[in-house]
Amino acid sequence: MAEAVYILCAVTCAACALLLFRGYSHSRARLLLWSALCFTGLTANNIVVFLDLVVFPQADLQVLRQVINLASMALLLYGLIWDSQP
Amino acid sequence: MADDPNELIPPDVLALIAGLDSVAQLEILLLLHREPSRQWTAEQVAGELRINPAAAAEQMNVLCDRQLLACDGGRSKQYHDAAHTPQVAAAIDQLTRLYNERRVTVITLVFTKPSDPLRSFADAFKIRRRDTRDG
Amino acid sequence: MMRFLLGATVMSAAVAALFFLRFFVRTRDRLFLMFAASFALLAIGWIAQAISRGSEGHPELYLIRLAAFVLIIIAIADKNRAARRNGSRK
Repeated sequence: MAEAVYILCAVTCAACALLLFRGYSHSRARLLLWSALCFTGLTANNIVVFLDLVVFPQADLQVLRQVINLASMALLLYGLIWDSQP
Repeated sequence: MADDPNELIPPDVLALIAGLDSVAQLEILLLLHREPSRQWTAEQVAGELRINPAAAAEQMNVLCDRQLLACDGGRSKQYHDAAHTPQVAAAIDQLTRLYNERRVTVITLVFTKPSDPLRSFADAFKIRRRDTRDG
Repeated sequence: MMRFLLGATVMSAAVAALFFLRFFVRTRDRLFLMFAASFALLAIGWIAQAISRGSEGHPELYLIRLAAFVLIIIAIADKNRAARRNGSRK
């Protein structure tokens, strides 16, 4: 069950990232770029969580995963703060 | 005033145009502003402007959200020109004049204004892109 | 180290949620409201992770994350249904 959830999350994040990258290519609005990168990172994170559950929990990867999360959120925040006004 | 192609569009009017997504919205706003006291239904507007009634209703709801129109709810929604501040009313009047005199310029502005990043964000999630603009 | 990372991530998600909430107020677009709720749920999930020290396999954790992403799916579906129904540019 947990595995299915994380796969679903990964797919959703990937879809968001794709839609936002496409939107960025149309509008060149930088907010979309940062958001897309954020969702890409979250996708990677969800995939790694899934791999962890399927293979075996590896404590080392926890830190790396959370670093990816934090980096993704930081990119999103940067975009929200600087690029949400025209 | 002579029709000087170099006449700058006033900032108020530009701001007004920035709140419009399409020519349909522009024409709806100008139509309702012409007779401020008259109530319209979406069907009436659609007939007057020769557009799809469902599309008209949607655009008028958007204009209502942006407080350019006022609407009374219910199944057969009635719309009328919102009670504008004198500044906004003057801007709409100017826009009416400009639309009559320099239609192509105004239409171009509707479509090429710098797009709002938030609008672009939200529009990015429309899987089938129907509009040709970048907004 | 994990606690620091989780704490920083929670804060980022919460701030992002606030930004989305503000965007909703500004644009009245439901999508932003749902993104705000979604990121708030992500923040809550990371808080739960910090408190519980459990792995992601635990239902409490993945159900919260599921809720967050289901909200995003709903937001996207809602945006597309509205666009298709009206055939307009909004």
